[in-house]
Amino acid sequence: MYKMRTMLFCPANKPKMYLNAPVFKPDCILFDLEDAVAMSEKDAGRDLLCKAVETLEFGDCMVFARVNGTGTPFFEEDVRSIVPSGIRYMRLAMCDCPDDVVVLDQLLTEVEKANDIEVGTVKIQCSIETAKGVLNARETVKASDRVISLSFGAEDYTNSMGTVRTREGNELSYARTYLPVVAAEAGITAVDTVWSNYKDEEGFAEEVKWAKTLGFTGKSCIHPSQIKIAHTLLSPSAEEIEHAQRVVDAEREATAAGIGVFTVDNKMVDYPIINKARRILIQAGRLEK
Amino acid sequence: MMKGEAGYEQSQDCQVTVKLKKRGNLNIVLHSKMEKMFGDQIIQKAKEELDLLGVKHADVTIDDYSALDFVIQARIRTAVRRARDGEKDV
Amino acid sequence: MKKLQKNKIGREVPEHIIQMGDVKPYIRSGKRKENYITESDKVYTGKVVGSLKEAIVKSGLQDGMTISFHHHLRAGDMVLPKVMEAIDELGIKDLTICASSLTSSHECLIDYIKKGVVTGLQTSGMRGELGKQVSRGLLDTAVVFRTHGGRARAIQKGDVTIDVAFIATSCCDDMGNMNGQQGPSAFGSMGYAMVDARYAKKVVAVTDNLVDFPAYPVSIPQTLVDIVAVIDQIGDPELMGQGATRKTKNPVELTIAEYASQVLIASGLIKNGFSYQAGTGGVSLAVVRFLRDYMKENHIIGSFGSGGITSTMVELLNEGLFTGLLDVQTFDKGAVESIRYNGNHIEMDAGTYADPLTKGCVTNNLDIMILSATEVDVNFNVNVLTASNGNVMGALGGHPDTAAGAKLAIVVCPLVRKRIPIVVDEVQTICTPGPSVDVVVTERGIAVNPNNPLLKAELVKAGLPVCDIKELRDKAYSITGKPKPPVFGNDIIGVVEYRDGTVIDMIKNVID
Repeated sequence: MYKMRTMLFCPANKPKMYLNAPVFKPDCILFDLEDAVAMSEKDAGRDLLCKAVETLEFGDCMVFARVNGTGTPFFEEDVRSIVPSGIRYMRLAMCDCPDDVVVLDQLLTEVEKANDIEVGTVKIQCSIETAKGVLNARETVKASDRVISLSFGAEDYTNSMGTVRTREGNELSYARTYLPVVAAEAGITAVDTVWSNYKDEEGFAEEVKWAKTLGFTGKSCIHPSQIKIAHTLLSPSAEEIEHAQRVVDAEREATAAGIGVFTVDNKMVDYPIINKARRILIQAGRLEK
Repeated sequence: MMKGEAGYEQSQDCQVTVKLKKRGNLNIVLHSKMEKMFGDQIIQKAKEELDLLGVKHADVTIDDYSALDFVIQARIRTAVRRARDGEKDV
Repeated sequence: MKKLQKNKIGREVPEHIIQMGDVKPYIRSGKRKENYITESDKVYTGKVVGSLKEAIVKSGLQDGMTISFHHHLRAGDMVLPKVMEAIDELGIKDLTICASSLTSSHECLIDYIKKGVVTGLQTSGMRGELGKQVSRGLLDTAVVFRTHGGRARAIQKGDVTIDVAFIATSCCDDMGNMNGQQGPSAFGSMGYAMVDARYAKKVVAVTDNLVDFPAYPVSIPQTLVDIVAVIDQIGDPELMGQGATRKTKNPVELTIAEYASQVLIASGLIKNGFSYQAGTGGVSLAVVRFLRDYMKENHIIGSFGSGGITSTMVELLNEGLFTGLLDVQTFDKGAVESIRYNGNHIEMDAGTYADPLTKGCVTNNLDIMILSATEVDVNFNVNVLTASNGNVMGALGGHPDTAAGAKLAIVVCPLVRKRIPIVVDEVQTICTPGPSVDVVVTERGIAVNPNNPLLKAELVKAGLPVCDIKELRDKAYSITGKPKPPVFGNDIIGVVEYRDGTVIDMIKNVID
């Protein structure tokens, strides 16, 4: 599972953010060639992205490009131009069905071969953002081994549902409940949609908490100020880590003493609890996978 | 002679105009507040990019708004392609 | 038998005694109305004049003298331009201006320099077109750039003698008791002017608000004031508070501020009774906001905040997070309100603030100072005076004073501004010497002065992105490329005085 707590959106045709995005230390930077770039500027956005990736350092950040959907006239050129420049992660917009992923997968294989890149190097995040996409998600994410993650896009989704986004987000409940289950089954990372009103940090925090509860482990961010909030909320808390450590320590002692059943804080510990504790410690970087 | 333009009049961006010619010199004109400090470097980077793109005969104008080199090169690349695409359409 | 002399009132007094040397006999008689400042030079209680011209004539200002001004009205100052206009009309020439600083409201000086009215400048800094032209050799004499503490020292020690000090006040009575806290042009502390009032030969209060005697509180007392000139307006309130107290939303600046606050915490200096100077500008004020959260969370109460005071620091005072504020310059309306009403917000003169030769200045008691920088080099030297194009465009302020005095002096700056690298091989002008700077915090890494290895270890332990300052320089150059230095001529347009009066650097003329 990839650590993708935050994906910072940056319009691909705006020079300013290229230099500074890594400063905010998001887990992923997402340079957007789709909605953030006007139809007439797609070529310029690609050129800028390519030159930036060839020239600049992005530190520990995973650098994603959001490419235009397979049904658009920009899709193919997006992929053909940005892979040779060094982009290794792609978010495919409007992933409606397995075929979309297959088309990208095949094109990537072709481009990888043509550029002496090992086949399978470039990874895919499926952006699920329509009713059809949600219902097909389970098959879509399994359409290629390249898929490492899915992301939810609420703006287009509500549009496809004939509804609108609200601060509470009840209109998203079905998709939001379903998609983390899809991701868990496939063993991939689930990244939640953006919170557009970046000035409303309280609302953002509430939404991240809710997304975490539902099983998302990442959040798309449209402003640097959201990164720290999301990282704090999506990382195990000090209490969680401390408890997990005690569970794992107690298990080691119990095993050494040949005791089968043991308790921590007066609660019986069984395998699901031990596994959860291990997962938290791995997340916190306290335990090797 | 075909013309291509790219970029915006915005801080840290630049506007590039490329006019492709059949013959003649490669002329690069730079307008930049950073000219004294970085003028030579910008012209050098612009030449490298044009060379990479195989542009030999052209008038290139760069209106720079404190862009970094990668931005200038990217805008040149886009402007040259647009000039060439224009050529094809005719 | 001692030789005696008869004085004006008819008594015999000795001509010489050991304690006094030559004894000056009483020479005048009359009512108290005729007070003396010196024997030969009486000042009437009728100090008030209706125009600057009258004030100037009365002050005895002559060609070749030195006059002083202050920047407590910042970009909104109308006093210097109005006084200079009157001086010009009176045909007085060849003056030296000893200003606490010069701001964008002082561009009129360009014309007065061209006309020969002004032939010398001593200041903390200058900006805009004035700085640009001075950098191109506008003056025939080199400008003396002094720190705030250095200026107080120079005046007190007699390195500079001020013939006439023009002091802007927003509230003054007919005897010259004055403050900056009341009236329509209230600006707060008179810290810089207080020194001049004590040492200048003649003191002219310039006010747009003559009040009934006694004006109170008294920042500068009547005992020091010769003339009170009443004019329409001393300052533009809109421009007076501009810029200094910007609350930044810039995410890069916030990142720098957050790192800086983590450095403060890791240093272990944030504990009960610590003292702090915030500086101004977006990053510095954002550091204060992070600091405030930490102090509240950990129930820490600091002793004093000092220097130029903004409403951000006032908030901390009001919340009980600091016991007092020592204010040499009040930066915004909120802070002016505070100094007027809050007894713990204390006015402080520039000598008390930063004069290194006093028996105790506040900067030398500072625990923490947050500093800005135009450039920092790999030896931690800081430039705050000249821009990358060679022009004078800043001010020393209290930078070198506080850096030298504080236990921990932190420079906060972006690694790159637009295309200009900020961490460089060698700064153009050394204002604050590297040994007094402890840490440089940028958005891409934190460099600790190698003479402070313990602090470095603490920061590493705290998980902060510590690196060598040369790495920061390399990162900066890798982003921007190495800029070509400006072309300088051979004329010295300015010298940079360190706080102790020694000259630390000089500035040559820029050639276009």
